[in-house]
Amino acid sequence: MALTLEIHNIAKAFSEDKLNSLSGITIPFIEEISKEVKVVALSQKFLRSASIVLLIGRGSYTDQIDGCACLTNRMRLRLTSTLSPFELQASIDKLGATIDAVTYRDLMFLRAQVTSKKVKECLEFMAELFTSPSFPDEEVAKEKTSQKIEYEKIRQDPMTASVEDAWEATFPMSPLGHPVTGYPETIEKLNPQILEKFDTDTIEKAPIVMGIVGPQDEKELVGLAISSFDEIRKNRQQPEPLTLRRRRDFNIVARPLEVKQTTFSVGMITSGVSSSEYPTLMLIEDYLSSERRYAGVLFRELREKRGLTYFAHSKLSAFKDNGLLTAYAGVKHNKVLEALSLMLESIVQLRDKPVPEKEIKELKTFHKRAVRMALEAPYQAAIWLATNVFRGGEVDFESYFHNIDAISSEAIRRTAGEFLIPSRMALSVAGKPPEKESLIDIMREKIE
Amino acid sequence: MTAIETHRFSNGLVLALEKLPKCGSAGVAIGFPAGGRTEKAGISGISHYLEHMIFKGTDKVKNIDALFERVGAPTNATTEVDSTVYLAECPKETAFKTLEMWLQFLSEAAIDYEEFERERGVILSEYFITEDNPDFLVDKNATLSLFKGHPLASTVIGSEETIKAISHKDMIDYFRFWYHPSNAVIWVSGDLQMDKVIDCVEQRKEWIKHGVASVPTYQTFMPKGPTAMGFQRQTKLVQVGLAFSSLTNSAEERASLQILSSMLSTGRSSILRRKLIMVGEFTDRFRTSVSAYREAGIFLTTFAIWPNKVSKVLQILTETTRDVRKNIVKLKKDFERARGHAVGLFSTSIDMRMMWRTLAGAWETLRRGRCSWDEMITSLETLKFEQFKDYVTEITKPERIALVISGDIKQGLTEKLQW
Repeated sequence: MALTLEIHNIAKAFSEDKLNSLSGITIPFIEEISKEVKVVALSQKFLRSASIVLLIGRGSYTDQIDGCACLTNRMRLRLTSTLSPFELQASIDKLGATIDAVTYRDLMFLRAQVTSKKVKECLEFMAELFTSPSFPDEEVAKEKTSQKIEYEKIRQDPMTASVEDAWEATFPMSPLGHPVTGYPETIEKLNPQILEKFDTDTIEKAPIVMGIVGPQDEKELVGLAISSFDEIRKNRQQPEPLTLRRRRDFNIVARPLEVKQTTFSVGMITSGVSSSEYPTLMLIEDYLSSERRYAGVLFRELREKRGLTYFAHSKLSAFKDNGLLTAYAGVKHNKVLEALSLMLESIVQLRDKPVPEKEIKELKTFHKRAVRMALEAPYQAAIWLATNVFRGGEVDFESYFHNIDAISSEAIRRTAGEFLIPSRMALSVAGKPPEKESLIDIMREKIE
Repeated sequence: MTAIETHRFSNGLVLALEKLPKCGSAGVAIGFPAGGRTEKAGISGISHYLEHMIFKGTDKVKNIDALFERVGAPTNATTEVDSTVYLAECPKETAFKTLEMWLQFLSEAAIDYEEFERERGVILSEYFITEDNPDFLVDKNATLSLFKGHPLASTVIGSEETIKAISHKDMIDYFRFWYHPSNAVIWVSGDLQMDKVIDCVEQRKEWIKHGVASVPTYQTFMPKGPTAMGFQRQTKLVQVGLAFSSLTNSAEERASLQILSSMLSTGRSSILRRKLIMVGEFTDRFRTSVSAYREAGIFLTTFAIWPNKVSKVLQILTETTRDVRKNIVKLKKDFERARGHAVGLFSTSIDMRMMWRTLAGAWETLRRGRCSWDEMITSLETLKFEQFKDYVTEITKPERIALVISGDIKQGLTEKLQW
């Protein structure tokens, strides 16, 4: 059935100059269908395929029982009220699509990658997954087993264990510190009634953002999305903002593992995507050594100058109002204190010493180009657009790049001074952790 | 349709351009046929070590990452059993500069002694990751075990002993022997013109000079399995890897390998997924990889299970393999579903990040001299069940199987398996 839509792009207008300097990237198109329901589309003419992200604005931090959001989302890809587990999986193969269900602390999404010819079919299938979940006892029990394995897998590798433990260390008094999968004992408590209630009470009311990237025109993509998802027209609402209780001092979590090297992560509480500091935090992430940057200070100090580690990176995971900046590295067991000391020095230097203007200029160029290239990969682009819209970030590129260009050396120093302080910092160590006292001493010496 | 133009310089250097009209970014990949297979005993891991050393720059330029960064070009590189490929993605405006820089840094690499010694710590750290992470541990040993007795048998990263044994002279000799323009492949993707890319390469005279290139010894692979390797580790989960060695000569054989992978484990409705994931008892997901080298390929599925399920899972793996081999004629519906999955997966994966897109193109060109995404999709779409049936009957034979297990496991676990 053809659907006639009056579509209004609420993204800001794009100047011709800026468009020329961003050859290849066109303007994302945002349509607000009803309260807290938006579709954001980006057309990339050279693509063969399309990526679709159906973002649901509830994640694990609203769980009454840890693991509930994650399990509910996983169940969407197990069966529906009309499709048996086998029929559902066979339908995905028939579509030739890759579809998975991902849960974060603040949101969850179904994401699909499909050939451009099958976008409509895929959207209709995703609508079915979203609107007709089913939670029979036997199938819930099976998915719980899988979720427990996921929990254990993360904790047997020192790198993933340390990065995950950084959440617990940094947010010890908040649901943000709990694992997205929940704990084995909380997963065990979940049952079909709890999942159904969560689905009805929470997911049906949660904000929706659909991100869609493909070779079709933006208006066509938005039209396809809206016509397939009639259900999402009803008004929805934002969750209550999460209030964090402040710690007075840093926190440490240590996990002994029988492994050949130890990974440690320094966690730092930051503000969120909707805050004015967010662009500065993104530059700080790149400055330290984001996962896409091999010329950052941690990479240089720990790996290039001293050969201590294969990886030394930073990662900013920001929600709407809060975030976590992590810096992590894996080293020989007997090198943890040396490497930690270097890492902390590099971090606190940001609040004590201005980053040279030349370096800031290079950082900005790097960041803008990296974002631009990421947006040409449909899968990354769809997630970037949907999560930014949901979390209150900029998605019109002119404003986004303007915000990056406006960052000064003083803004970096000020932001670092606000966030890189003991009461916002924490440490996690997985492998053969040194004595806790020596870790405490280094933390005190370097960050206070 | 994606247009891929190929140009062969008179010294043998192959240049491929994948034209992507209206694409704002571009990708560059430069590959050499040097990898695990071209290493002498005692210095395994040298190809990968050399890959790291290239990033240490030339006598004049030390921090090459910072230079690439200035033109907006994140870089990376990957060493495989049969190749080493250097990569960059960039805005199309700086594509020629990026290509020019890689050409320069690869031909003028300094391989400084002090840097070489310092980097050994980094290489060892990476090696420890492959030992600590059960996925990587199984992955690297599956190739070693499956191709036992053949040059393809390699972990790529080497061992702690060989990494410590590699000397600076070994590295210089290896670099001079294998990094010759006449056996290299340059792959470029983007909204660019071939004549300008050729001009860019020709500006660097050393890349078009003639000389005798070192060529790997290619030899027929004779499967000698089934093999099994076990690693005793104090972990809560047990990691299992099941690998098949495969034929990869023709387009039909490579299409068959992709569809077999979808039918057994990659597809959502695959046979092993139904038996090991959907039943909710054994594992949560598979990690699958398919690599098609010149003489043979590897199809590997790894997953984590609870220790008390190991025997049952091994029984399921052996039964499934036997069943697929003996009753493939009954699996026509599975074949069609798997074909749908394989076509979709291949078509959509081409639209991945520019860096990985160029890597896939460089690999295919190094291995077979040319690459066409459209031909590969056509092969998947038109493969006949009869061809697939014969292929699967061969690939699932016991001699083509390797099993690798890591975790808290018992002795003799794999001895009586009936593949």
